[in-house]
Amino acid sequence: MSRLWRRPALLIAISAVLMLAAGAAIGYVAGTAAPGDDSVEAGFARDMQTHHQQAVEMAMYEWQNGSDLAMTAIAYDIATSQSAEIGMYRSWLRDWDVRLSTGEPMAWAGEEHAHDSESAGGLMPGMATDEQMAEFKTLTGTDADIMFANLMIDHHIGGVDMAKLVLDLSDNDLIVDAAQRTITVQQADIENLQGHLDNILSAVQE
Amino acid sequence: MASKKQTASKSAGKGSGKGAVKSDDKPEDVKTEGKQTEDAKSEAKKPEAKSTKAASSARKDRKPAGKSSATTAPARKGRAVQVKQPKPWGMIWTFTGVGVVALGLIAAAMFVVWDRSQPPEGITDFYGDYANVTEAKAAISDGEITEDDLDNPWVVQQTHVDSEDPTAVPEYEISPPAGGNHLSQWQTCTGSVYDAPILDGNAVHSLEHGAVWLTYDAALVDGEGVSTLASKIEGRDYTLMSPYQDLGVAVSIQAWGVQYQTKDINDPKIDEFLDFYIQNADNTAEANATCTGGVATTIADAAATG
Repeated sequence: MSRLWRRPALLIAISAVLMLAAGAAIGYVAGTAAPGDDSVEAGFARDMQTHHQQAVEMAMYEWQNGSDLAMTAIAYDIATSQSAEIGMYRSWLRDWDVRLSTGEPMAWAGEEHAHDSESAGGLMPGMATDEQMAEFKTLTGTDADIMFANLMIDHHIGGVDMAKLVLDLSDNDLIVDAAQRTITVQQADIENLQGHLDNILSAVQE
Repeated sequence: MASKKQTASKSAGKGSGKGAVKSDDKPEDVKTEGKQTEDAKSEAKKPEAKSTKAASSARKDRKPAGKSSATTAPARKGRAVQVKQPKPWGMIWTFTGVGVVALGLIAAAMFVVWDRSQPPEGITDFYGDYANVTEAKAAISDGEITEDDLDNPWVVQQTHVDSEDPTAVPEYEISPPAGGNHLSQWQTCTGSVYDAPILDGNAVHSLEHGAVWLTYDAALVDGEGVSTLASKIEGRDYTLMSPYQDLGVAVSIQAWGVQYQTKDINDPKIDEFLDFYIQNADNTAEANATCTGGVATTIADAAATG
C-alpha cells in the first residue's frame, strides 16, 4: 500500500476518479435540487394560493348573486381559472417537497413587504379585509356587481404587484412563466372589469 | 530505424502497436523528464534547500547515468530505478480532509431533508401501524386490511352524516375530535379565529380539507394567551381556532388523525404542528378542497340568527 504513493500516475488516476465521483454527486444534487423551504419561489407559490383562494371566494359569490351577465361571466372565469392555478402552485410545492404553509405571508418578498403585510393584518397586496368580504356577501344584484368589480380590480392590482416582485427576485422557469402570465392576464382583466363597471354605473345613473 | 524495430518486437509481445510505442517511450521520457525537472528544481530551490532534496536529486543524477545506456527492457522494471520518494503527507491529508468535509456536507444535507419529512415528536397519532391517512387508505384498497382492523377506524371514515338526515349529528370517540364522519359543510378555515365554540362536525370537515384546528380551554387561557394563539392562526390559510368547552388542558391542536395537547401556550410544538400538518401532502383526506366559503358562524351565532 505504501508503494501506491510512489506512483504519481496512480495517484492522479485515483484523484481523477474521486473528483469525477464528486462531480457526479454534485451534478446529481444540483439536478434534483428544487427551491427550498425558505426560498422566494416557495413563498410566492404559497402566497399566490392564498391570494387566489380569496379571489375564487369573491367570484363564486358574485356568480351566484350578481345580475350583470358580463360581470357574472368574468366571475365564472376567475373562479375556474384561479382554482386551476391554485392546484398548479400546490403541486409545485409538493414536487419541491417543501411545506405548504408558512406563518409569514410576503416574507419572501423581503423585510419591507413582510412588515406591510403584518400591519395589514396578514393580508397580501390587494386582498379584501374580513369586513369588506362580509359586506360584499350581504349584497345582491347590481350592488353585488359593483362591489365585486371594485374588490376584484384592487385584488388584481395586488396580484400584479406580487408577480412583478417575484420577477425581480427569481429566475426559476416555472415561476417566471406563471408571473408573466399573471401580469398579462390580470392586466387585461382589470381593463375589462373597469369597462364593464363603467357601463353598469352609467346605466345605474340613467 | 531502431525505434521502429523495437516497436515491432514490442507489439508482437503486447498485441497493440500504439500501446507498445507508448510504454516504450514513457519510462524513458519520464526518467529524462524526471531528471530534468529534478535538476530544474534543485537549481530553482534556494541554497538552503533541504538536504534530502539535494541528496535525492544527487542520487537521481547518479542512477539514470548508469541507466541511459541500457535498452528499454530494464527501464520497464520500475522497481530497479526506484528512487525513494518521501510519502506526500501533504497531499494525503489534503485529500482526506477534502473527502471528509465533502461527505460531511452531503450527509448533513441529506439529514436536513429527511428530518423535515418527519413529524414532530410527541404527537398522538391515531393511525396505528400506518404513517398517515394516505397509507391507511392504501392498505385498505390493496386488500391488506379492512377498516375494522385499524386501531381507530374513524381515521378513514368521511361520510356526511347529514346527507340523508339533515338533523343528524356525528359522534366522536375522542374529544376534541380529530377526524371521522362529519357534517356536509366545513367550517371556514382561512386563518379564522372564532370567539365561541363551533360545531365539531363542521370542524372535522375542515380537517378533511387539510386544515389544522387549534382549540383552547377558555377557563385555562387568559385574554393575552388567546391573543398569542390567535397570532399563530390569523392570516394563515387552512387553519382555524376556537374555544372548546371543558377541554381540560390549555391547548389541543388537531389535524386529520393526529392530535397534540399541551399546558403551555408557548409550546414550540404548536408551531411545529402547524408547519408540518397544514395541507400535508400525505395526510389530506380530501385533497385540493378549499377552506373558503364554509360555515363562518359559531354555534351561538347560528342559534341567535336561526
